[in-house]
Amino acid sequence: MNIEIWRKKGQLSRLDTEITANREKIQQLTIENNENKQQQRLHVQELQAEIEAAYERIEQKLSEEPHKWTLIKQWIRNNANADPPDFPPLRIGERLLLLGLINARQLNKCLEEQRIHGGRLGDIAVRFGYVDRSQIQDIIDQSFKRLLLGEQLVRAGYLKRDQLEEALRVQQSVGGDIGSILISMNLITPAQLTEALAVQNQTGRLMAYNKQEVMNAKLPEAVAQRFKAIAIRRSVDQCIIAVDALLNDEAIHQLAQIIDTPVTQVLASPWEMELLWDQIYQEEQLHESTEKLKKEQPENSASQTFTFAQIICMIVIGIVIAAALLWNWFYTLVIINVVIQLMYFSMTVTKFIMILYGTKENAQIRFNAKQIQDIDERALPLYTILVPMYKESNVVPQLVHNLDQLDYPKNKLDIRLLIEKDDIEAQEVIQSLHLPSYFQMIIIPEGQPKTKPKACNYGLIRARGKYVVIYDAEDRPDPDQLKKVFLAFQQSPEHTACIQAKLNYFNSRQNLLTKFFTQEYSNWFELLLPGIMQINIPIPLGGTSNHFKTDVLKKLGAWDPYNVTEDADLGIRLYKQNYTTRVVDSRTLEEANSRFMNWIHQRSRWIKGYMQTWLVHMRHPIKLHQELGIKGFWGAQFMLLSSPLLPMLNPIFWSLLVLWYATHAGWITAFFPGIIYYLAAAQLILGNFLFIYTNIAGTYWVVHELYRKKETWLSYGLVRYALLTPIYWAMMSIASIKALWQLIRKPFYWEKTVHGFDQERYDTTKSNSL
Amino acid sequence: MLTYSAVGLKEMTVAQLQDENRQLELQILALKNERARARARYEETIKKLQATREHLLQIERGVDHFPKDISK
Amino acid sequence: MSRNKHIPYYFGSILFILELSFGIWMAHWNHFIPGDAVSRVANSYYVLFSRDPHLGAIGFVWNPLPSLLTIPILLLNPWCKVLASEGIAGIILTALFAAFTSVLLFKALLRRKQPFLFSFAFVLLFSFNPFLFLYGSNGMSEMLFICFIMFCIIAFTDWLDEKRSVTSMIMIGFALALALLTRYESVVFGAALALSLFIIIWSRRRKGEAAHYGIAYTYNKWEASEWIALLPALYTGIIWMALNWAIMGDGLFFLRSNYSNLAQSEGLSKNPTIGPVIGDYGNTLLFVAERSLPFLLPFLAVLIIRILRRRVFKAGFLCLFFLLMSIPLMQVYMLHKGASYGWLRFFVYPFVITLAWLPYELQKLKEQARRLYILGGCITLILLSASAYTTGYAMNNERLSPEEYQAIHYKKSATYASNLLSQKIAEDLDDRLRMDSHASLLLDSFNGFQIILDMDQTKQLIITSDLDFKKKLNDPVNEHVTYILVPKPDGVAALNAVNERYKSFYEQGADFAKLDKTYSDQWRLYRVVKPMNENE
Repeated sequence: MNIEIWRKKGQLSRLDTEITANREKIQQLTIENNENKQQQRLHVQELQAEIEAAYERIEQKLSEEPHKWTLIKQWIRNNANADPPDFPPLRIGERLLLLGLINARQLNKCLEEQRIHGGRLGDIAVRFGYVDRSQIQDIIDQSFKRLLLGEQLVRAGYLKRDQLEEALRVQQSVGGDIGSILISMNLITPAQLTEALAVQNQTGRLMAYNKQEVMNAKLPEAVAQRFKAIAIRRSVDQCIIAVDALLNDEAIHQLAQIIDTPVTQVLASPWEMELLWDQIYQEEQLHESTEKLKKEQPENSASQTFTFAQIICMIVIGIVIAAALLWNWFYTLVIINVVIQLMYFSMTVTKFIMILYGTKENAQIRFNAKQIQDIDERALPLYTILVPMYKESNVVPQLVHNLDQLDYPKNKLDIRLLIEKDDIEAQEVIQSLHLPSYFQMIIIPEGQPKTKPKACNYGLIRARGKYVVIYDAEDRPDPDQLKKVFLAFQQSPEHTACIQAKLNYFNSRQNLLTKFFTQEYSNWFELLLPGIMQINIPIPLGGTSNHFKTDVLKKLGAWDPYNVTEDADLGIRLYKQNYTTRVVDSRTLEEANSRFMNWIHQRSRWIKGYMQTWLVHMRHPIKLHQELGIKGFWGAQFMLLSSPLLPMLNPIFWSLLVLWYATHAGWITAFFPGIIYYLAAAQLILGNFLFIYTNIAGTYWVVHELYRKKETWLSYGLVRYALLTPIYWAMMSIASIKALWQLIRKPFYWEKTVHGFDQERYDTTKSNSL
Repeated sequence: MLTYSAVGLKEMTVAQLQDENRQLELQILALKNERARARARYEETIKKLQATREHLLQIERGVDHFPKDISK
Repeated sequence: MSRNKHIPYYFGSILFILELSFGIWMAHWNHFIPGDAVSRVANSYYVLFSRDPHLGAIGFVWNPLPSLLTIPILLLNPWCKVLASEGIAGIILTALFAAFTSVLLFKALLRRKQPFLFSFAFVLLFSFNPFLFLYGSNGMSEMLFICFIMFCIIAFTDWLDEKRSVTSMIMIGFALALALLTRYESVVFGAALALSLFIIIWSRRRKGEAAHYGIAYTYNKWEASEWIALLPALYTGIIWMALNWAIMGDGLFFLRSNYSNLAQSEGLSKNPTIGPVIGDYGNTLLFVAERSLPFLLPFLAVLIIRILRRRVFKAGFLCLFFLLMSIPLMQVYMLHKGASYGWLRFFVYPFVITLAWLPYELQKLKEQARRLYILGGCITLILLSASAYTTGYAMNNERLSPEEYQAIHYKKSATYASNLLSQKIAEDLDDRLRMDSHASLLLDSFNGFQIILDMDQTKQLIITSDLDFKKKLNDPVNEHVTYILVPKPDGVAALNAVNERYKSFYEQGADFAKLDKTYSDQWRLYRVVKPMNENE
């Protein structure tokens, strides 16, 4: 004990010194920062003053030589398109000055206004009353020469010519616009691009804005969404909107009609727009991400667990069973047992058939290296990657590395890191990493429910990609995954809305639990899931690496933020709308839960989630039957019920078996009349074995395939642990009984915790493989 | 018993201190971020201003060298 | 090639009809069918039609699969009595398996790019080898076992080629488990297979992917492969023992019971052929060699092909050698211990294993050298023909193959007479039981199966597989047994439960049993009466 104290003491004093050091560092940094800012401000002011002086000097020079000035004016007027000799290309302000329409002082004032509020200089000059609009228009008409964007950037001094040429070469092979390529190559900043675009298009540039003003000018969210524009300032005669891609005349016209004001647009970078959206429409977007499904398809939302009719139904069933038990408890139990046995048997057989289907080579969509290489990168669409995370900032560097490994043109990536508002640490860590611009941090505002599906919904609202995929923070997708999915979508029928990549674990060697988990996933994703897709019944999706068509996903109402297993639920809803899902032969590696209690919590949550999903979709069984068809209906019943029910029933029958051997009590055999006895025995002897054996064979299969592809993250040594699968079943039973117990004991408390988000991190590991 | 509660107490203190330390480290990170942000913004501005300055110097020179009479 | 795709199936169908016709001809018209075959049918008969139908009645002496598979066929028995009484159900089963085996072999040959005519000749020489044809038609378990072994070896050679590697392994696993449910020889065969897996994986440790990953990889891969290939068989064995334990109270009941093979072979030392072999390794080896010779001829073909290919001392060949030797070596051991009858049918397996292996070997030869391939093919066909001839010769030799000799000379066989007697007894018993529907008759099905199969009033019988048989045997009076039927305690009939329980019951009866009728001094029927005094 003393040693313990000593140890603690050492720790304490170490901590104390660290804290003191950190405090000092903070002070020092604060001072430094302030000094730096001061210096920088001074420097900038200095430069600005120099520039102002330069204008005045020019004016001075001109007025000193009126003759020359006249000549210059003439030159500018006459040679509308050519710049005067020895002159650099002139900007509008400089033209105004050289033409003598405006003096240096006025010009500087305009420039200052532009610095603060943005907008076009000409417009400002008009507004200040220095010149009139026709004059400006004349100048523009005469002198404006539209330059290529790259050229514009080179002229602006942001880009060197050889850099531009390199970027152009990249564009040849990758496609896409040059701006995004330059940004993805980190040659220019988004702000520089936007500025160049504004100049190129003769529009204003969003510089700074007053939040209050913007809030006052706010357009209805639907309008803003439709035009992808946010009003910055609005008066009776003008409305300035910020856009990241210029609207065409028609759209401008429409918008002007809607708001009954002439519209002027200024350009903002997509990142600035994102910030604006976040500031201005946060509430609406939050509302959309939590309430949309509930409002539009209340029948599909899990915001309410039990409907009134369901409660009545359960009570009635309870009463009937109780009455039957009173009438003749023995027959009732026998009948219940027979029903359960038949159900059990059909589930076992179904599962086995699915596995058989899954072993077919074409159950997964496969591509070879050649096909991947042959992809014309110019044809690749913009791809959105959503990465929801909560309190996992430590894995961010790894995440960035993993996503960087993706073999996909970076200028066509729209990576959205979805960070909860209160997860300050992640926000700071992400900022400190100076991520390339295709990483966008989206901060999810506070609000209930605080769940992963809500975060995803929020991130999806402004997703720009044609396809969208979710990865967890610790995921390691195969580099070729996006391209494979692109090909898979191309060669799949139109109604294929989702492509699921296979999930597996990289930490299978850690302990027995991760080994079990890896085996479970290997079998699920390599054999069962492809098999289920062959049969074409509703599939509980995996929570990550499912790639969607963005428009379809949005149309469906995306994820249900109130559902614990939103992935399973979405699978059913996809099926309801006649969309199909397929499996592509590409993997994403994740980290398996390695601690027993965590595993139990997680698993019981999943089981609850499955029950919840079942309850949601079984509110109107007949309607569901109509929507899904016979096969889909029973498939859904199988998928949703087998996971919670099998582990719940297992212990009952195992204990019956033990009891029978221990006591040879006749009443036990009496529960298994006639053929049911043999059915139960076959299940016990054959069924259980077959599951263990498929587990072994499935694991072997996966490892074998991997080694053939020279991948070594799984070992053949994993196979032997499949013999211990019954231990895993016992664990599942514990988890399912826990879930059931919670449901019975405090159904409403359950609802609260389900919606309330009660654990450290998002429960991100997938729930489909029960 | 005494040692036991002493250990417990120490443990609590350690946890508290660790928490505090984490907060401080977070602050440091935030400050560093702020510095980096300011720096980036500053550099962008400077680059732009310098480009403008160069541009104006050129114009000035252009004005200086503008031929007194134009012969095409 | 695709034109020939269906031909194996046509061939199989024709073979099935031929085997079945031959079998029915032997059983129905010639009244010849091996007792073991009928006994297996009887076991499944008890399951369906005894006084207390339950699956456990299938018995725990024979391996259960042949009887299990007969059950669905016997469901038709009420409409076709001969299915059971003449053992036709068993014949249907073996004919099916004979056909299936030939299809397997045929398809393996074609898949391994053998010319069609050659394959056809090959399969003909296999299926119409006198021994295989006979066993395809006589309801014994051998044909099933042959089929599973064939399946195993074909899967093994597929695995050697590393195509569909995992699937092949799974096939091996299930085939081995089924084989274990058919005959106990699977244990040594399985061991040889396990050894072969090791040899192959070890020999490949420096090739391909294995070279990069070192010894741990090889070990893990080996272990994993063994699990897949052996687990079904291991599990089957465990379950079999567990069932023996749960129902018979002894996990090794199938080995140790009164009726087991071991018990039956106790009298062997007096047997003129087997007697001298016991305890003498020289004689044992000679005995085994003599009977194995006809079946080893095709192995010569493999050897020659290997020499042509210059691949004699290779892992694959070593595997074949071990697989081949496994079952005969077990026979050597058993004969030496005096625990085997040394029937000819115990020595046929090397023939099957070699033939299942040959397609693989021939394909390799063909890929290596076309001209040598023609030579190899010819040698194979010649040796197969020679094997067929010598097999036929051995089967016609009473010393080498007493069972098959009996089958060929069925008219001299004693089976016919005993079958007729059984029918007579059955008719008489039926009459008695029909007259008194409350009467019951106790008999041990171990010897009485033929009578049971011939009877109609089976619901009044108390037979060995009934759960209350022991109780009723121990106390026939209070358990209301009406009749007891016992065989004369000669040879294995001494193991009859009644004879074991009550000494010299056949001769003297007991105080509670009064002799009612004697049938040809083979069987006696006793009527149970109240004993004079209460001490037994």
